[in-house]
Amino acid sequence: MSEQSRYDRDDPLVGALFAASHAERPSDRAVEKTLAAMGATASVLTATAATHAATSALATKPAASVVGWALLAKWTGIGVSAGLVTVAAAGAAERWVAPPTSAVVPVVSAAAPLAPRPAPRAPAPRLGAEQPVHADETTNAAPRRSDLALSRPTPNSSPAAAPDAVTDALQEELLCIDGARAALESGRASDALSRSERCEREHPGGRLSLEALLIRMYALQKLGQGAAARTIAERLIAIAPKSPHAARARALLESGDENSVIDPPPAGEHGSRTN
Amino acid sequence: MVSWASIPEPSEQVEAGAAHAPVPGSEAPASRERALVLAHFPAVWRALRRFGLSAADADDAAQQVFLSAVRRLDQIEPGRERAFLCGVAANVAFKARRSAARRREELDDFENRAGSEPSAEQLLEQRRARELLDRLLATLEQDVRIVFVLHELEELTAPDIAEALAIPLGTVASRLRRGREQFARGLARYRIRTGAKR
Repeated sequence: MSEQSRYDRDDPLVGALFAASHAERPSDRAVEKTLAAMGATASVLTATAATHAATSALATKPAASVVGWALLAKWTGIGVSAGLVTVAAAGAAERWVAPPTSAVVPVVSAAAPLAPRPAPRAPAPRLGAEQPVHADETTNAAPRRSDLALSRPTPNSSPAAAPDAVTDALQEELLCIDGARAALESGRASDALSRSERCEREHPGGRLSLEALLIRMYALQKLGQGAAARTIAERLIAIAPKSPHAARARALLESGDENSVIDPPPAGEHGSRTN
Repeated sequence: MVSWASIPEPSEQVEAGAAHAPVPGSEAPASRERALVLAHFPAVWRALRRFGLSAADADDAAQQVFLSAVRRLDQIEPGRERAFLCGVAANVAFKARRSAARRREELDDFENRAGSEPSAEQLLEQRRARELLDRLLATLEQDVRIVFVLHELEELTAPDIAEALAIPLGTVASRLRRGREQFARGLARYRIRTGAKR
């Protein structure tokens, strides 16, 4: 099928339609989110592979079955412990809120403070994407550490907990950035500035740190702090000279007038929502 | 005022194979993965749009395509990334459209839109042109549409399409022929309604 066999592009209307298609582009944000998701997936896969490798290595030893039982016992122990804590909390709550004559302990409601918190919005696609299997998801009875602990990995975190921690950290950062961006888009530049600074403070070196910087740049510019905005722009260019962020920073620098306002990205022509 | 759309897309800024300067402390994907996204995301996203997905759904679907591709990166022959990605995109779009068909929010029947046809002047605007293109493409059968888009718009060769979709070359040819016929019929109907001349 040669080039000559392609549809008649000499027809001006067809040419215009096809050219319009070629001119359509995804938002930079969609690209960034995919890169971020790929980074998270790579981390998860690496951690999972490390876990599997460790398990495989153990399995080659004569004591493999012992280790297996030890793991089972560990999770069972955690499950039992969690259950005991739940029952204890229920009992305490009952003593606190119920009259002494109450014979029925409302376990479910009393244990609510220990229930898993609602899952934050995930960065993964919603269209039935294959999700990487987390090591701790392979054990149905095991409680998810992310439900019981802080999302940030701790020095004591087990390898199995690392994927959740990484994903949670990214989700938190995404939420933080989304808040700053929403503030910027709704014209609350001051709020956007403080939020973007908070994102940088709480997620130093995060995957979306360039995004936070960019929002800070726009917010400063909207607040009339052109010089500060230009400083951020120069920093963005220095950190990632070929990134889309740097292109925007250059646009700001090239605008010349420190007080001229360059519009931030549209509120979601291609969906600026968090995945 | 600087137009946001005037910012070049990443693929124009970064040559394939090159990676951005890493963000300090970030866990950026490996360079080939990153280059894959930067070089091919716009084309994959555009193909997904022409397959019938909304912009927001195309964002999600494109992400899914690349996440899927990363898992099979070692199977992708260097130089054939685009065909591979388009093949995955076709599958993802097919599944996505099956669920989106229930919503049916954007692909109304082409025939029922005769009264709102854009004029020839308005067609100069790219957005209008894309709307018309998408409506014309929506009249094509989905499997025909995928082949038509990949060949006519994304300019993949027939052997590449056959490989990407895992279908015989003859099937590609027949779908392409049907796609052209159906597209031409839709275009002719549009011209009759609007009086647009060739």
